[in-house]
Amino acid sequence: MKIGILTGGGDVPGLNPCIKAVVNRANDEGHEVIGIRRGWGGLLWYNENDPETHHLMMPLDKQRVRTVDRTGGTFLHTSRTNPGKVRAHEVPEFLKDPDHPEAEAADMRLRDFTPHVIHNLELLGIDVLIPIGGDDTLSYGERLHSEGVPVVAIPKTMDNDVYGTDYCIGFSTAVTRSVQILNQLRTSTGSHERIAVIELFGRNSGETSLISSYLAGVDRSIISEVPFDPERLADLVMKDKQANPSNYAMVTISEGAHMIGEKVVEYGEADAYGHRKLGGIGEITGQALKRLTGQNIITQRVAYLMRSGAPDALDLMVGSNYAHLAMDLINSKVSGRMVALRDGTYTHIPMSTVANGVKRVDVDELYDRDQYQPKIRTVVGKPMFLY
Amino acid sequence: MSNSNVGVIAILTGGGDVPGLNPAIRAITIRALREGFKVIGLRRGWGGAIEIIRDKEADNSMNFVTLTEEIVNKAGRTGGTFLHSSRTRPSHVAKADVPFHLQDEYNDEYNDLTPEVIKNLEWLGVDFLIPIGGDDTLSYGVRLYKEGVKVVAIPKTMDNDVPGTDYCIGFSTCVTRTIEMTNRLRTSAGSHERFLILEVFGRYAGFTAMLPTMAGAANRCVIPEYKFDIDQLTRLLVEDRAINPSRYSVVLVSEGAMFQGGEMVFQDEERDAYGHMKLGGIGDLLSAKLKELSPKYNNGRRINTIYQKLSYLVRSGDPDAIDSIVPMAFGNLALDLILRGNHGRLVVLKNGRYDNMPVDVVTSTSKVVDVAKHYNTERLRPLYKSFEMKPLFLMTSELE
Repeated sequence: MKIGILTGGGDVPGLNPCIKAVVNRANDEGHEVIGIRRGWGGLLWYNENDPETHHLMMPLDKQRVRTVDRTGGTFLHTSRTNPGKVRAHEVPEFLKDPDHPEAEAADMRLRDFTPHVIHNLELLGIDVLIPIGGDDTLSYGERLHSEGVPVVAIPKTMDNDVYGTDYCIGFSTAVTRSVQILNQLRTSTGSHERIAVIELFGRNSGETSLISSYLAGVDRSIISEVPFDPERLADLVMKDKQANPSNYAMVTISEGAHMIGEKVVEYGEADAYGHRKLGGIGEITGQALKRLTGQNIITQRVAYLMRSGAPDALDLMVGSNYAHLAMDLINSKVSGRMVALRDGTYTHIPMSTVANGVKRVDVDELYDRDQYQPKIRTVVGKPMFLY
Repeated sequence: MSNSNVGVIAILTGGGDVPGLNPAIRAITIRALREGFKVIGLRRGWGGAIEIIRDKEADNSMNFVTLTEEIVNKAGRTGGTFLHSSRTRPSHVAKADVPFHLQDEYNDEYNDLTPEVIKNLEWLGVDFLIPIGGDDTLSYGVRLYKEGVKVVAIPKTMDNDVPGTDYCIGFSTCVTRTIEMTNRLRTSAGSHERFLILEVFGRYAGFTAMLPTMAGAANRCVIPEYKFDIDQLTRLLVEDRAINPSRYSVVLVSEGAMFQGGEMVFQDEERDAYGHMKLGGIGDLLSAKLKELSPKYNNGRRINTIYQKLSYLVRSGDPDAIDSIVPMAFGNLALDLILRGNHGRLVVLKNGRYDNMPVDVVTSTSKVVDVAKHYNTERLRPLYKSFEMKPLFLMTSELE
């Protein structure tokens, strides 16, 4: 069989070990693997008649992937391209209508190039696709599956917000890095006796802020799910600061958090999946705390540092194990499934589940709305990451 | 208050925290105790020196602490400063910041509390004062020296911009962290085939962008000392990206860097006691501009960016090897001077060797990158020809 593998959306550590495990297992079992470069973009931009585009299809074997698991990111590269919704200025030259260039350029509607993608898959002889991505990337996987393409999906995001699975590749490294950076920032915050506001990636899920603050022992944690009152926060952190012998306090805040009555802070233009970038709430909160407390503030956006660099142990482990789950499904000729962790156990679920809900922090179970802190007591029977 | 045979030494740390301060305090304290001195740590930079209440019954635990080997050994391995720091300038104290017990006497809009500082030092029995700081903190050391206080100063700043010395404590860890984080971010930049833009602290000096770039962490760097042309930078970065098999390129941006025809970018209007406003934000503007101009040099195709402000992460955490070694040497150099009865000096590394200078060198000039000698304005990166017989940090030295 010929397996196509691709990575879409934001890069995270753990993608390369996952690809390596697929390739090794597939080679052992006599399958061929093609690495599709730049996420779904590879299948959109690949043009059989243009050798310049042929590098987008990278044959993978054991030698090629031997060392890739030591690094983060994805050696196949990635994109946020959605071949089902391509904007006029992003249409590849060879797919443009040569007879009506001006009419086409003026047409602002999104184009659907799915037939071209399916044509490329047939041309390349790809029997089954393994897309590795978050809900955006996987939503297009579901689309292809509904068009009859065999697909087995692997969830990744550092936000851990893919619905249907407890765990997505990249989350553990994001938390590991955040905890390390939070603790590192204590020397600067303490030396100046300040209040530090540290903004974390996580999109509309507060899980990175909640779990990182829980593990780093940060005083307060603001999450996307619960709008906060800056005055209450100011009161709480001033008490934290006074109680700390080193006279400082620290707060984590999700990039998707917002004050009561205010909006989420977004900027830039929407991507192919309709999302704008989040961020800036940490700075705004820092200014509010400065005004309310009169204290000096340190603000730091951890941003890309959460997802760069080599994977930690858990992302090596889950990356490799998800690869084996996917290969088991392919060997059993099962498709339309996403590999997953549920209730602490490896399993798989219908790919369509991803679009059936949103995964957010279980606020009632894990967060104290009054104290702006994780609230974790009874853990018996809970999975490793608590929900 | 002194109960020692040979005298009392007071230490303080002022200005921004850097890794290496605690090792410096440790080195001074251990050597001084062994030489028979009593050692006092003044807390919160010059802040502790103005807030002391000259009464044996008063609680001065927030203002000074008597240092022991036990205390300094525990703190000596960590970053930051366990004595804490401030940007307090005793000669320029705003009305609201005058300590409560002095408010009757000092009620101008700005007050010179130097007479109080001198009385406080006398009350503590301080014979020698060792301020550890950048040019702002040390400029007040110069003031005290001129008032007759025996001062031996130690330079620290992650910006490495104290005149008279090749090296300031904290600079190496800053370079180490910048290289480490830039390299880590390559996986993200490469995976997305983007420009990677990193903004680094450094105030008015470009050393923090220059040294990591020279060490291979970035393709280009822009610095406060040379106003860059954004078209030139975009063209260079597009070329760098095109020849990289992984299709990304990296630029380090000093927080004080400026567009051609532009000015420095500040976060807000607020000034500290030394008259400085907080820099920051140029990286964000530069990132947006690169994205906008990229199609012009990249066959019409836009190149996206990853923008990361390293901010406090370059100076937080534990010291690297150099910032463990230099503080040990600087601390002992200070004690050597004191034991010889020498004062009014700044301990330095000069042209690659440990030495000392008159302390007022810190207020004599400002130290920035010599563009003509060390910056290639065509290629927007460090300029270097021969390394032979050059001191370790190359462009931070005054050697001809």
